[in-house]
Amino acid sequence: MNSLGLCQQLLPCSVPRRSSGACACPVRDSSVANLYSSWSASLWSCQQHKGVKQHKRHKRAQGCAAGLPFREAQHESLITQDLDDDDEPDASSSDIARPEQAGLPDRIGFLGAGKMGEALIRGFLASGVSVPSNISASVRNAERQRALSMLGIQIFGSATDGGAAEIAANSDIIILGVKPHQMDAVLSSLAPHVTTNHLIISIAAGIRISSIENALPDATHVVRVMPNTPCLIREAASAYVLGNHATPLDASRTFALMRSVGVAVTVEERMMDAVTGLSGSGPAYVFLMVEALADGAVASGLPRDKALFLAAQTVAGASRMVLEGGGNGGIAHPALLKDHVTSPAGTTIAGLAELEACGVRSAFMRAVKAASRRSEELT
Amino acid sequence: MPEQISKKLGFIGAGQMAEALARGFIDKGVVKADTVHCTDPVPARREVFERFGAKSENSNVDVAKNSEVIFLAVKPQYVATVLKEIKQHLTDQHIVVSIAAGIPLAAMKDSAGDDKRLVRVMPNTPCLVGETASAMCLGGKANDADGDIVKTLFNAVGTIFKVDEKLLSAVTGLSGSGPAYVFVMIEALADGGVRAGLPRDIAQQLAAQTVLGSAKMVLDTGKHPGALKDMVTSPAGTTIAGVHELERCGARAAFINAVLAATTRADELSKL
Repeated sequence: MNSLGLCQQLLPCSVPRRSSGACACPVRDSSVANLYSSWSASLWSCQQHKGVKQHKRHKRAQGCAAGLPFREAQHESLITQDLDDDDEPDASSSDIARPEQAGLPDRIGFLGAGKMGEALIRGFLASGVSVPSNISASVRNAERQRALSMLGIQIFGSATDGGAAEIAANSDIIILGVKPHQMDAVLSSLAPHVTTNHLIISIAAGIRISSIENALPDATHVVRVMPNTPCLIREAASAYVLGNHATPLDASRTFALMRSVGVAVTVEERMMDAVTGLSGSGPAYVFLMVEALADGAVASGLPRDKALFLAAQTVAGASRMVLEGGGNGGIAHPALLKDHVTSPAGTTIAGLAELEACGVRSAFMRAVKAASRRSEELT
Repeated sequence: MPEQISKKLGFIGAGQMAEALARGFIDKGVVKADTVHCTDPVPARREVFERFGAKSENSNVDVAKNSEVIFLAVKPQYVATVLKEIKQHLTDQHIVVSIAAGIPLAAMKDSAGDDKRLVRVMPNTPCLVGETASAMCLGGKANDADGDIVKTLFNAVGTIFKVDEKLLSAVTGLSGSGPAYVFVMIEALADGGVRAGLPRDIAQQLAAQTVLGSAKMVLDTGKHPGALKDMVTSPAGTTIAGVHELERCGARAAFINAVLAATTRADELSKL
């Protein structure tokens, strides 16, 4: 339970949107979905269906006494008898996917595993969404092989040297974690061994889905993901795009994986440069801000170590307020939160006046736009 | 599991901050709900506390009599009045914790007497989500053991450490007022995302999560933010292009100015 009394088992529904943007969950009730007015209703509306089931399971297993963030009684009337058959797998239409919250049964293979790849492996293991015996990696560098084998996963040699074949034979989900300039060679090695039973997830920046689909057999299921650095500590902000042959089940599996290392949203491919400029490059802007805040505190007399710690913790806490401080524990509008904390002629509004005078808002907008533009150039 | 405090807590003032603290202490198991007492002129606020298992009293004096650690969670202008009101019911065992901005320990001593254990804490709004960045200082007869009790409590809702009282204005300028700077940054990042083509809700969520994850990286890795920035800026990449814009626009100076201005204002207010 978090401090707002919300059961942590309640995760956003993984049922992807239809192309019209509407949710595909059969129990979507728009009046209940409106409780999440700050969120896109299609993503959150199915939390009710999924969440109530999850919470009942959690309650039974852990005696969780947490309240639910929505009117359970109202939604329960929409759910049929199977709500109490928690031990049975849910009967699902072919359209609806329900990944196991306890862990994906899929075997996951990494083609290339650098910093981001390793961070993902560690995150999947730490979250319990996968286990070492279900993960393998094909890496060329002996040092990387040694480092990764410490995680208990299976290691294969270079992708272009048989590694791709091994990964394909041993995995249901293949994650392309090589650098963009190595992609062509890796895809060539992979292509003969890929079937429509595989899900290919690319985390390579700037590589379009079409170029991956073109290099692999027809009808290959491809998903493109843009994670960010904090996946190292399971606080990533990730966006993913479904390829032409990716199914709702593929979307669910991708969501489950990326959710285990942070937050994940689905987007259209044309938005990926913007995502790069915002969440891809964003961490650097935050590091800069934290350092500057600490500098300000040092200028005001605080010792450096305390200044840095308070600065980082303040940024962490405030951003969590935006993420959780809205009605029902959803996202809150930052401007409303800002209004709540600026008392008349107080210290906070004095500080804000300086930020505005220095055009900080514009600076951040320009940063995102510039990085996004650079991403377009590079793609 | 954080350690339990066996002392009874009292909240004079049951507003948002008091509620966040009480809920946080109870949720983390540091205190039991039925050992928490509160009072507030507004009945609805007392009911809020009762709903999560705490007890409400009808007067400040009753709260003082029923608790061992008393939180003054009233607006700064009422602190002196409240202290004078409960003074004769305060024993040398009571710990009085003020979370009011700008009220120095000396002023508290004037109202409560020289022989009381006084603690002054500057928390911040994110204690509402269990992530406060707080600082405290001890006054009157408060000793290190008292400080440890307050530390155990506040660690349940985030982080806290001790500073000299003269630094509390700087703490106010940074962590007290800091959340608002972060709200502005997140809104601006989301605006940038929308400018670049993202729908608002996606931009907002990615912006907030990016800021959270990155701040946590500074805390968890213990690395200097400058070093972390170096690690993520690849040559001629997208990130360094973004960083360049921030530098060009003098964003660093903006934040330094903000903290300084808020600190100055905190100094002014504490002298009123």
